[in-house]
Formats: sequence, structure tokens, C-alpha cells
Amino acid sequence: MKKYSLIYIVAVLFGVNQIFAQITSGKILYNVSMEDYYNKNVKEKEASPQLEKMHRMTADAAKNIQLELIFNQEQSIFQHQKGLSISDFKELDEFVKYLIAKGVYFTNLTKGKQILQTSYEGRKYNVRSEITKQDWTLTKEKKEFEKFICNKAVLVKEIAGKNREIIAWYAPEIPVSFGPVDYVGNLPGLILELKLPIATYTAGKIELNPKKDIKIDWPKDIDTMTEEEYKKEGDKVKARLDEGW
Amino acid sequence: MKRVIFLMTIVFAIGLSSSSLNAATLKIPTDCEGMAFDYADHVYDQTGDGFAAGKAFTVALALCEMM
Repeated sequence: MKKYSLIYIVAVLFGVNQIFAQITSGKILYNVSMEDYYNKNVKEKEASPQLEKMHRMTADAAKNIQLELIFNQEQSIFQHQKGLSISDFKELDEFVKYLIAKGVYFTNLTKGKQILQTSYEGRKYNVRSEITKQDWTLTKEKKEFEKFICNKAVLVKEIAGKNREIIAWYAPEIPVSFGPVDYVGNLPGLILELKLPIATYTAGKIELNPKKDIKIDWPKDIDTMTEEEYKKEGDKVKARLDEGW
Repeated sequence: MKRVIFLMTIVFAIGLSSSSLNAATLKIPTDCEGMAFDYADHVYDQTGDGFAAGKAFTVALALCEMM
């Protein structure tokens, strides 16, 4: 009897191991919602009709956004679906897209590095960063996304001088530490929903181990700057705004 | 007769002033710049990103002036 129990346990463990070890690549499409942001900035702050209209247009445009995450065992690319028009105004399209994902995010988990390719007023920026450890709290709360059971994790992060709560729902069944924008390398599973103060990203379509190999070409021969240097450039734009533009 | 002309003048004057008041109300310029600054502030508050705030200001101003 003991012998059979042992064989059974070994078989189960082997099976579980096989399931987890099998996922080597994937393609995820994320949808975006800015409704929480809209409610916070319009309903709670009693915005003027003009300001309310601006927030409404932004949130409506965001509904049409689709973002794609492709990954293999060590690298990923996260970016907007190419050629997707999200509103009737080109300027609004570009702005809302930047708000949701600043550009193309390349991640290499083995090297612990990320590069963001973005632009502002015609100038291109290649922003390099190290993937650092974030202080996520893993909770026991669970919910299901597209047949995957996800666990909830919470991170408190300082944004514009205030502590903000970031919520991620990650799937331990897909044991890769990738996710939207720069939320990579920290959680023990793929992030299928991410709630930031500005928007919520939710996986709509999950394709694991696609037939076509996923090859990621890391950007080469480019001038890069650090995250701090990029932030300083952004602070100059904010200072210009504070001085009346 | 003089009384009737006087009353008609008064009525005409009141009508004229109220119609110009309406026209003046309609012509008050919408404060696009103020709204654009408020919008940029909201965006910065949620993102902490100066570039996002700059883009927010530019697009809000352009859309407000267009509408």
C-alpha cells in the first residue's frame, strides 16, 4: 500500500511539474479601463463641465486601447497594438496611448534590465533601467481570469509625493514574472490584471506556447539614458507648466 | 402721446439692453487655458510624470479651442 502511495505522490508531483514547466512563451492582449480614474477626478473633485468633458474623452479613448505582451523564457516586449486608432483626434490618440503605456517596453529577466523606447515632441528617448525588488504584499485573495486562478498582490508606491496602492492579480499557473508596463520581475506569476491610479489593465486574450517561436530582438546600437535622467527631463516640462507654460 | 412714446422708448431700451446682455453672456470666452492647467495637474497627480502633464496640457488646450 505504501509503495502505491509513493508512486501516486511521485506521479502527481511529476504531472504538476510538467504543467508548470511547459509554458515557455506566450502572447497576451490587455484591455484598458480608466473609469476609476474618471470617477476619482470628476465625481469626487466636482470638476468643471469642460474639465469633465476632457476626462470623459480620455476615458472613452482608453476603452479602445489594446496592448500586447509577448514573452519567451527570458525576455518580453510590451507595446500598443500597431495602427490602432482610438479616437477622432490624432492628438488625443497619442496622448492617451502615452498615458497608458509610454512606448515600447523591452524586458530581459535574466539580465535584470528593461529599456523603454518613447518620445516627446519629436525627440526619441531610450530609457534603460534595472529591475529592482519591489515590496509587494502577497495576499490569499483569489479570482479567476480567463480560466486561470489569480492571486492578489498589493504594492504601496510613491507617485507625485503621495503613497498610492497598486494592485496586481497574478497567475501562479503561468510562472513567468512578466506583466504590463514596468511591473516585471517581482511576482511569481504572469500579471493578468494590474490596477494603477491612472488605469486598469486586464488580460483579454491569453495564448500560451504559440506555434510560432517568439524571438525578441533586444535594441542594439542606441543611445540610452537612465530613468533618473529621463525623470529630470520630465521635471523640466512640469516646471515649465508651473511657470505658466 | 408723449407718454406713449416715453413708455415705448423705455420698453425698447430694456429690450435692447437685455439682448446685448445675452449676446455678452454668449461671447464670454471659455477659459481653455485654466482648464488645460487643471487637467495637466490631475494627470501629474496620478502619474508623477512631467511629460504626461505636458502632453495633457497641450492636448486639452487644443481640443478645448477646437470645440
